[in-house]
Amino acid sequence: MSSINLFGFPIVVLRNVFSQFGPAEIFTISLCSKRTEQNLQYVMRPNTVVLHLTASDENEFTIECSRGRQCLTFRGSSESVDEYEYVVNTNAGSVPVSFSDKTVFVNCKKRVFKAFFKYICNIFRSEIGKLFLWSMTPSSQVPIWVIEWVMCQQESLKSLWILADEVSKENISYIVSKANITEELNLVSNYYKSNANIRMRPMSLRKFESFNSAWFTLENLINLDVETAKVYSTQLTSRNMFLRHWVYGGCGRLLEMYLEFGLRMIVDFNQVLDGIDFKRVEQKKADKYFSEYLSGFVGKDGGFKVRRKSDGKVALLLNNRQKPSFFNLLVDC
Amino acid sequence: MSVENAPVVDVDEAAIPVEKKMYYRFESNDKKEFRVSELAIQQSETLNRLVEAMGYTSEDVENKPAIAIENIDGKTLKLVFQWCEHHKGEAIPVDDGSVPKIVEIPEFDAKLMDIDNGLLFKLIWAADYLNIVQLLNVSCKKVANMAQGKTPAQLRRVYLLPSDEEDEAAKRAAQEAQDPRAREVEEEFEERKRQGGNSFF
Repeated sequence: MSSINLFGFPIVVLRNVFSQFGPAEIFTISLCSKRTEQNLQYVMRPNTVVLHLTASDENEFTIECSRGRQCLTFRGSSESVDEYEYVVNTNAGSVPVSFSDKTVFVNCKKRVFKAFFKYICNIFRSEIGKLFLWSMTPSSQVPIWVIEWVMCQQESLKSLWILADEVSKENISYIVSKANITEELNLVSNYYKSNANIRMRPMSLRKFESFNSAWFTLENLINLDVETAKVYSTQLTSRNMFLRHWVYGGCGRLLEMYLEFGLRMIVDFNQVLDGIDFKRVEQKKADKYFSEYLSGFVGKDGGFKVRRKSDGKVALLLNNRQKPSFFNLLVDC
Repeated sequence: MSVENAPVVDVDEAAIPVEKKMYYRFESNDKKEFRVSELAIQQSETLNRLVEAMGYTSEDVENKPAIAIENIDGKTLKLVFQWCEHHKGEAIPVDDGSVPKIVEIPEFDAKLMDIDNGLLFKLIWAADYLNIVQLLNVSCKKVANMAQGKTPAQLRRVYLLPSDEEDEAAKRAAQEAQDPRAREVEEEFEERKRQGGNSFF
């Protein structure tokens, strides 16, 4: 096998070579020696690898690393294995790993999880972009410590998904008040309690989705500057207040909003439109709009058009006869 | 209208004004001379600026000595100029910093770079020195491709990466090559540290 002195090249050349590596090659080079691992900090351009971290309560994690079309997945488990090929040296201890095609199996003790995540972020010089935490075992908690760790490492997180049977008030509170999410927040949990008094920091997001949202208040909704929002099982009664908030210039990014009030509640449009100028619109045949949220065309029922005073934007409040428990607002559709 | 039916127009080639091509002369550090077209030179930002600054006329190019390129040998420079001639007139890619770089190696380039790694190493240094963006991109792509599917042990061999043990050994050797008195002081210092002493003095 003929060889070439890689680190004999000037830094401009090295950066060019490293910008053409996939995540698998970068990770493999990091294993060659301590010096090569350190050199990655100088030759890797920051945030050129997209990192998605998934963690569960079962002491397992997955980190998907992608750069263009090239991907590498780390599958971590705290179960010990007898056979491994290489060792990743972290500050908290050594981590045995073995390769299989585009997957790296990581045998990681739970106490070393954070050090391993840090190692991956360091060698790729990239932040965690998407975090997906899940726990489907009753009585087990979603690993909130992962969000806390990410928030200590980086200023913000683009996307957070929580899928859990059990999520405490403290967990939801932490997510909506402390975690700095910048693009997408998706909460799927069985937290039913209303009047929980969960305070939400003002958030500017592309997408917000929450199931079982009895905790979700008008104040929360007004603090949410979002393009598309879907809030299920909410007990919000002040829909009129939100519409007024929008008409007078609030929630400037809004494109689509779905509020669902449970099967027993029906949206009373007289109450919603009280004191607001509107124009009734009848349903036309084959009248459809493109839903950014659903990434497809959706049938448009008739409804009520309201105009925003500050910039003249028009929103359609759908009168959805099939789904009377939906408050469905479409802006400029 | 088909090609067969198209009207044939006789062209008096002598009547068409032909712009006279200028060929610059360059000399490698082992005294090999090359004639390179003006258009081909444009692929190299360094050489293009150099010839612009010199402002040579056609006569100067013939009468004055060849432009010396001090740190590139003839074998490497031949490859560089072959590449520039083949790609003359092509747009020079702008590095917008986007990663991953999407680089395809054309057939001609692949054949040109079908060389031993020692010469490839020199070619890359030359492409960087002469600032030939696309040649640098394709040659770096060739180096990057060498890593595909390799284990760490294989990568150490391919890229001549020393292991931790080799790095340690090199560090020790460098220390031993130091002034013997300085080494003695250093060893004494290490010994005192091992014995738990707080201060050397």
